[in-house]
Amino acid sequence: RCFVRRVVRSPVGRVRRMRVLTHNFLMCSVRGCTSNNYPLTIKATQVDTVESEFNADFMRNMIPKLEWNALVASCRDLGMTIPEALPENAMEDETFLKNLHHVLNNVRIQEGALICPNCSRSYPVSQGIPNMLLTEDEV
Amino acid sequence: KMLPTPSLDHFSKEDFQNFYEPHQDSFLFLDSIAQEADYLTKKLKPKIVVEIGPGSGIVTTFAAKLIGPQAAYFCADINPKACEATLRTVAANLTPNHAVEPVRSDLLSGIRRLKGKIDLLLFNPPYVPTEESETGRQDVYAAWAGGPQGTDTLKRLMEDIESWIAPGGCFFLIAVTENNPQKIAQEM
Repeated sequence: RCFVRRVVRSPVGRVRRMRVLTHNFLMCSVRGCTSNNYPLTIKATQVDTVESEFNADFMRNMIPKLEWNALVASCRDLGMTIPEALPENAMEDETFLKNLHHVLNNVRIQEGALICPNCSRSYPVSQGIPNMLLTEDEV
Repeated sequence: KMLPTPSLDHFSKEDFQNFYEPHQDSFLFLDSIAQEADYLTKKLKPKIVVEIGPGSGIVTTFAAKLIGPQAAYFCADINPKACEATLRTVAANLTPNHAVEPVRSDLLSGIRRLKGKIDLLLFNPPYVPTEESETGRQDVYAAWAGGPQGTDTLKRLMEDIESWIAPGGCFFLIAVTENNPQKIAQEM
């Protein structure tokens, strides 16, 4: 597994790439693939780390919408660790929120694939954009 | 408070062959959002904002600037050039702190897990009446080719629209007279 860590500061680096946040909302939609189709396994060939401002409101807004187990799995795929379960006082724990901010917002998948654990369908990520389009037979 | 129109100076004429160059409908959309600024920022206060067909990214960029970085913005476009363009427009107009995430998708099918979670849905659909043969494409045609009544894409979305919007959520839709907006509103 090739895992590139690099703080991107150049203007080119300002073009955003796929956040780990987004992965939490992606699932397989191939016709007939209706169980064990989430979360998608991340096989990244290029991952960048950027810097962005911590926004506690954003974190508090996102936490209730996240599937925590899927986040744990995505971190594992990317060589990071987060708590197995959402801590009781998560919304008030600024250290926790800041670490979560780093995971959700600063770790960017630039190239790779998101793979369905059920049907093995591979959704490419290129130039930081996940391609969730299905072919005619898959719809 | 006047919110400036996002700059598109980073695009060339050639770029606009690949995705929808903002026209009157796009600016009407921005005006509508600006007019509802109080409602959006003080009442709705969306956390999840989704735009279908961002094209150049101008509308999402404008909405994100108005609403703020405490929301997440997902943009679903079938055209990969539009996904890239959206990233560029966001980079040119917003701080790196707005979470704007394009996904290549046919309508909302690629972001199914957002069903029932969308607080604000934005859509300026293809509405030009065209031959059926001009529909179903993944390039700039997708931006305007609407089939014989001009409503093919819109109809597809409307089939299960209510399942996507969060309780109390809101849907901004641009329609032209030919698409019979009264009827669309009734069907909702």
